[in-house]
Amino acid sequence: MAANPNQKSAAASQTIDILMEISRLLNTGLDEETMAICLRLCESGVNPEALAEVIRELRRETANIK
Amino acid sequence: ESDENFRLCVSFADSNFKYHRYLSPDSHKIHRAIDGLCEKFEVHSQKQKAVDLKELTTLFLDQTGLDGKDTGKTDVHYALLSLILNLAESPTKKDFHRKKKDILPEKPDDFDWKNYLLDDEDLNIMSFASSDSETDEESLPDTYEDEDTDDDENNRKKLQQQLLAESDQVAHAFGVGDGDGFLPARSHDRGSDVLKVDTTDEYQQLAQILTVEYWKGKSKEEDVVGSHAASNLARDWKYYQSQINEFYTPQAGIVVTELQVVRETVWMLSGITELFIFKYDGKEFRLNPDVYVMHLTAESLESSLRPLMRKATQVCVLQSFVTDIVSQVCSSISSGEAQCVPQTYQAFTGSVSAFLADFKRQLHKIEKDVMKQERVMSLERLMFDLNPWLAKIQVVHGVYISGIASVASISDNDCSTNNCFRASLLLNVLYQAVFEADLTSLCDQESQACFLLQVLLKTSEPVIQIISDWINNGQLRDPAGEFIVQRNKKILSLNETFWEKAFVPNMKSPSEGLSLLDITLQKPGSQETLNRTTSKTTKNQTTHRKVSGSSSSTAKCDQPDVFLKLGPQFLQPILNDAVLTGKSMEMLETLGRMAEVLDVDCEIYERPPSLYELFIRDLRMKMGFVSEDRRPCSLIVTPVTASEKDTVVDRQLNVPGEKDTLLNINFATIFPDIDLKIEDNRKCKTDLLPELSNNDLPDLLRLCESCLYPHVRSRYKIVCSKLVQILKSEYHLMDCIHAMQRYYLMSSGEVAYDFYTHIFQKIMNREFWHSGSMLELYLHEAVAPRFPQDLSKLTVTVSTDVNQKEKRAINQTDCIQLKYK
Repeated sequence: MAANPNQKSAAASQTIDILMEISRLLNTGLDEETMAICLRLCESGVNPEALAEVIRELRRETANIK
Repeated sequence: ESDENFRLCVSFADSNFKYHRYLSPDSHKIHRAIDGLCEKFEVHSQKQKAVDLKELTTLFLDQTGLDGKDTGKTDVHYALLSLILNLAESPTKKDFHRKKKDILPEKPDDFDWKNYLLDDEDLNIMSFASSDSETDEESLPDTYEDEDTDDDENNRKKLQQQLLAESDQVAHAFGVGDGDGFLPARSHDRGSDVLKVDTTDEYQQLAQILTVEYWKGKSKEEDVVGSHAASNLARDWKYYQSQINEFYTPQAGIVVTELQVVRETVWMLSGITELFIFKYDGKEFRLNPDVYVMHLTAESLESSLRPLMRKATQVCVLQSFVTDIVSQVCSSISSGEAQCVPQTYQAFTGSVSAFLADFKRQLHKIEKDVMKQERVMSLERLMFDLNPWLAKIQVVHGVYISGIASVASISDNDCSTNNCFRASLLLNVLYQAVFEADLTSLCDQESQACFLLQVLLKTSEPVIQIISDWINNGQLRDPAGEFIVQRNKKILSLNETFWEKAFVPNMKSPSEGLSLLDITLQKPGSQETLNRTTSKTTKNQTTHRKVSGSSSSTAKCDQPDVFLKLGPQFLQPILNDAVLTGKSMEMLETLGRMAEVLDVDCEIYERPPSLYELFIRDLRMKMGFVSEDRRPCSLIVTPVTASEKDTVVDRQLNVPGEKDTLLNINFATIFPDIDLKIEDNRKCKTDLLPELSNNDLPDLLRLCESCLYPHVRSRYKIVCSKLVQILKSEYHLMDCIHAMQRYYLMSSGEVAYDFYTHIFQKIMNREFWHSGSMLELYLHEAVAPRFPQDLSKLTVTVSTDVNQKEKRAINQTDCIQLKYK
C-alpha cells in the first residue's frame, strides 16, 4: 500500500531525527538545516567523502575570515 | 550571491563534487567503522554511547523513504553514514545523552459510541417485545430518562471540571490564590455544582487580555492564526516547502504576533539589548532565528526588520559613546588630573544625548499607543512614524564614525596636542555634513540641515568661547588643549620675541608624528614668504605687507599660512584676526591699558555678552525669530512700585539686630526705583537653539559666517588699532621704525659710510680696531651731524661669540653689534 503523504512526512521527520542523534553523538557539528541539505546532496549522487572535504574546507576558511 | 566569496565557494564545491578521486561508500567498510567506533567507546568506558550508536545506526538503516525506495539500507543510507563518520570530531570527548521520547498519553475517547451505534433507535420496542408488564412500559421511560439525566449530569460535571481547570490556570497565571479576595469564593469540591458560570466569563476575559509568555515558548499558532487568506502565509509556505522537500525542517518554532514584534522593536530602538526577538552580540542586533510570524516568511521578516536593527545598533553605539565620555570626564574630575577629553567632544556628547533623549520620548509615546491598542499598529506604520528620526540617527552616527571613531585608536601620551586634532576633525566633519545637507535641503523633508546646524552650533560653542575669552578678556583659557594655538610659557609678555614666539600652533597630526613646530624648527634658513597683517590707526585700514623671511627659524612659528591649514574649517577665515587680537590684548594687559578696550556697552552690573551669544543673537535675527534686542538675556529689569520696595526693605531692616538707617540710605541711593532679576543665562542659551527649524533658508553656513565673522573682525579692529595707537603715541613706534630703517636697513648711507670708513681703514692697515670705545666714538661722529636725537639711543659693542675661524674678509665685521634702545 502506498504511503500517504502524512506517513511519508512522519517517516522523513523520524529519519532526520535519528540522523541528528547520530550526528550529535559523533560530534560532527551539523545542524538540522545542513543535515537536510547534505541528505539531498547524497540522494543526488554526491560522494560523501568529497562532501565532507568541502564542508571541512569551508569551515576552515570561515574560521580564518572571522 | 553577488559576493565574491560565495562564488568562490560554489566553484570550489562544484569542482570537488565533480572531479574527486574518492570511492563510493562501501557498506562493509562502514559497518566495520561503526563496530570499531563502538569498541573505542567501550575502551573509553563509554559503553552507553556504544549501545546508543549501535541502536541508532540499526534504526537508521531500517528507515524507508530515502532515495525514493521503500526499503532500508540503500546507498544513500551508507552515504550519509559515511559522511557523518568523516565529519566526526573526537566523539569520545563529547558528552552525549539520548533524547527521551515524550510519551504523550492518549486522549480519552469520549465519543458517545452508544448513541452513534444505536442511531436514535427506539429501544422501547425491544423492551416491549421482551416484557408484557405495563409497569415495565411505564418504568422503562423513567429508566431511560434517568439514564438521560445521568448522561446530562455527567456532561455537566465534565464541563464544570473543565471550567474549573481553566479558572485554575488563569488564577495561577495571575499568581493569586483564593484567599486574596480577588477571585470569588468557590468550593474546593470538584464534583460540586456550586460554580457560577459568570465568573468563568470573567476569567476568560482576563485570559484574553493577558500577554502570552511567548519568550517561554508558550505561544500557540492556533491563537495567532488569522481569518484572512494572506495572514497565514508562513504556514502555507512551510506546507509548500515540506511538500517539495520531505526533509524540510523549519527552524523557527515560536510564533509571535506583529504587535509583539513592534513592541520589542521599540524597546530595541530605545537601547535595550536584553530582548527575545532580537539578539545583541555586542556588535549588532540580529533576529532570533527561532521566531516567526504567521503572515510573513522568515526571509521577508528579516528583510523588513533589517533597517530597524541597523538603526538600533547605531543607537547603541551612540549611547556607549555618550557613556564613555561622561565616565572619562567624571573620572578626570574626581582624580583631579588634567582634562583629557576635549570640551568640543563634551559639547557634541551633550547634543547627542539630548537628541537620544528626544528620540526615546518619541518611542515612549509610540509604546503607549501600542499598549492602548486604539489604533492599528504595524511595522510599516512604525517605520513611517520613525522615518525622520531614523534619518537623523544615520547622520549623527556617520558624524561619529568619521569624526570621532576614526581617531579613537590613537594612543598618545601627550593628550593635549591630540585634542586639538580631534576637536578640529570633529568640527570639520560636522561642517562638511551641514554643507552636504544644505545642498540637498530642497528635497530634504526631515530638515536635516537645520538639525545638523544645531549640533554644529552646540559643538563649536567651546571653541568659540575660547576665542571670545581671548579676544574680549585677553585670557586664553584652554584646559583641554584643544584650541589651534597655545601659549608658549617660556616667552614672557615683555620679551622682545613675544610677537613671534609667544603663541605657537597646537596641532599635532598623528600620521605625521611631529608637530608643525618641530617641522619648522628643523628647517632653518629657508626663504619662505610670511604674510603679516598690520593696522593703521588713522583710517582703521588693514594693510598686508610681504616681508622676506629671515634666517631665523623661530619666526616661522608665526606663519599665518600655518594657521590657515590648521583647525576647524569654518574658523580659518578669522583665525588670523583672532590670533592678532589675542596677542594685542595680552600686550595691552602688560602695558596696563586693557581696560580701554574692554566692552563698555553694558552696565557695570552686567556681564558683557560673549562672542557666542552675539553670534546666536544675530543668527536668530537674520532668521527672523526675534526683534533687535541688544540686552543680554541674563538680566531683565522691571520697575517696582515704591510701596512694594518699602515693604521688602522695611521687612529686612526691621529684623531685630539689623536695623541700620545708614544702610537704608545707601541702599536707596544705589538702587532707587528698580528691582533686579537675574535670570539663568544657561536657560537663555539653550532656548535659542531649538527654534532653528526653518527649512526655507538657503546656504546656512554662509549665513552663520555672516553672523560670526563681523564680531571678530570688529574686535580685531578695535583692539589692534588701540595697541598701535598706544605704541605710536607713548612708545614712539614710528621713531623706532625710522631708526631701524636708517641704521639697520642702511637707508641713510652717509652715516654708514662715515662709520665704516674708519673701520675699513683700520682693517686695511691691519691695525687693532676691536675696541668698543673706539667704535662708539666713530658712531657718534657719524650720527651726530645728521641725527643728533638718536645719539643717546644708539650703542655699539664688539661681540666675542663670533666664530674666529672664519677667514673671509667680509665676515670680519660680524662681531660688531649695533643696539637701538
